[in-house]
Order: sequence, then structure tokens, then C-alpha cells
Amino acid sequence: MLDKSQLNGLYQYSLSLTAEAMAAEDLLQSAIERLLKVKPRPNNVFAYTRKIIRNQFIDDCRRKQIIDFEPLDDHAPMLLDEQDLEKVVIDQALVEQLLSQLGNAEREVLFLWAVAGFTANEIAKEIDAPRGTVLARLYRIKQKCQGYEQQLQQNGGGN
Amino acid sequence: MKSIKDATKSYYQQASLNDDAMDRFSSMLEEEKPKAGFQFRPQLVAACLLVVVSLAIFLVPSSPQTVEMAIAKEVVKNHIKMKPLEIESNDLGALRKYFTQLDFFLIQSQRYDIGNMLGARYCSIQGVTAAQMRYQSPIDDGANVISVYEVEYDPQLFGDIPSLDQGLAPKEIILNGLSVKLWVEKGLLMVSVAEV
Repeated sequence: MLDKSQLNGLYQYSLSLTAEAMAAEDLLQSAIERLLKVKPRPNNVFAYTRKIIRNQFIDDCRRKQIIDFEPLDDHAPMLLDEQDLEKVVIDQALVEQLLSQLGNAEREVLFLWAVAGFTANEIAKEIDAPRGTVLARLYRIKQKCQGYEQQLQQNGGGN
Repeated sequence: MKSIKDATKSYYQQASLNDDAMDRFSSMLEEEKPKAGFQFRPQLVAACLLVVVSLAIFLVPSSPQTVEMAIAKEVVKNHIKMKPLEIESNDLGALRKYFTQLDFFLIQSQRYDIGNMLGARYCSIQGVTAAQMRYQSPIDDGANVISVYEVEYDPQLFGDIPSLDQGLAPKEIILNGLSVKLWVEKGLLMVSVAEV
């Protein structure tokens, strides 16, 4: 149903949502338990399980009254398209710190774009959100990444 | 310096499930392999029969003792990990409000004093969603904790477990320096883990 590579892929997706290894493992376990109750089996088990993971995570956030998928206002700036983000560079060693600066929704969009290789349209369909929302989140990611790099340069310059 | 795309990809792709977790998830999925459409082929049937008979002879069967030991190993591992509680309360009503994802009605076991309860969290036993309650031990000045798991009791899945309601004593398994007790109470499988 799901091979080891797919299980790792789903774990990595869970990690993008939870930002914590044990929470990601728990989230994946809950999703697999739910998957096993689904009859008949869905055609694309991997994609279906990813949806279960997302829905479970949102339910968990609601239950804990955590607002992690904060809405964007209608006039939030957005990228023209996802290609804009392709030009942004970062030191590999700083990725983890950058991810800690992002909200869960932003980390999810970044994961789906960078790791799953989705376009903005595909991400929008995956998370059931307007394409504009996806582009706005990518814009925020770009801003935070560039802001983070600038801050580090300034701190490094002050030493 | 790398593109943010490549850097993010490298970051996530280095994260992977540890062996225990991978084995656990793989076994959960193995038990539920989908049955493909069946076409009667005598050779295929004979091959399947041969495999089944071989497995029956050479593999340890899912006897009740094996299932109990599997449960014991699972809960001991979980108990030792001491994952954070999701709800810190000793109020049964509050716990029932929290546990909306269970397929059973949470009970307070007569073997433990709810006054000593520290809280609870979701977990699973043999792939079935369960509740884990944590109690402060009434001895040792509360230095130790006791984990008590509740899950819907399915005799076909969990085997024959002694029922407290029928006056039977829990089954005890000593594992990794801990005492694991299994019993059925009000139709639920209860498993406790405590110091010996």
C-alpha cells in the first residue's frame, strides 16, 4: 500500500506541518490508522494519506485552539508566480532556522513547492485554497528568507 | 549557497523515520494488504496453499500469548518514552470532552484513584486508537508514574483477556523491568504499566 520511500515522504510532509520529529511521527501514525479504516482503498493511497495528515493536523490545531493556518487579507502582496522564488538563495546551514521563522501554513507551501515539486496551481488544488493565497504565502516566504539573510549579514557586520 | 528550493529539499530529504517507527508502520500496513480481484487459477491456488501451510509451520502464530506480548512491548516502549500529556486533568468529564476521536466511552478504572491522575494523551495499541492515562503512583511519594491504556476490546484482535467484571485477576507480564497488566473492564481492554 505504501512503501518505505512513501512512508518517509509522508513523514517529511508531517514534519513540514508540525516542525517536530515526534509530533510528525504521531501525526503519521494517526493518519495510517485512519487510512486502514477506509474501504474501499483509494486509488492514490499516497496522495490520500497526505490529505488525511493535513486534515488531522488541522483538527489537532483546532482542538488545541492553535491558530496556525492564519488567513491572509485580500490585499496581501503575492508573487507573480512561483518562479520568483527560484532566484532566492540561502546557506544550507540556515534552512532550519529559516523554517523556524515560518508559520505552519508557510512551511507546508514551501514543502509542497520545494520537495513535492508542485506548481502554485497544484498547491492550491492540494490545500483547497485560491492560487492567490498560495502566491501570497510564497511571497511571505521570500520576504522572510531575504529579511533573515539581511539580518544575519548585519549581525555578522557588527562583530 | 543554494537555491531555497534545493536547500529546503535537502533539509527535508535527510529526515527519515527511525527503524522502529518504519517497522511499526510497515507492519500496520502489511496486515491490511488489499485483496486484488480473484481469478481462479489452480496453480495459483496451490501456490497460495503452500505458502499458507509453510507460514503456519515456520512462523510464530498469532496466538493470544504472542498478541499479549506484542501489546506489552508496545505499551512499555510508550511508557518509557513518556511523551507529553495532551490534557492535564483528573476530571473524567474533561477527559471525555477532549477525547473526541475515540470509538468508545472513556471510563475510570476501579483499580486506580482518579485523584492521582495527572492527565492523558492519544496513543494506539496494535494500530487501534487508544487513550493513555498517566497516574502518580500512590507509593514512593509519587516519584513514579503509572500508565494506563484504554482501548476498545476486540477478542479477535487482542485474544482472550481476563475480565475484571467476572472477578478474574489481570494477566501480568514482566518486561524490561516493568510490570504490565492486562484486563478487560466494562468491555474495554485496559493495560497498565508500572514499576515492579
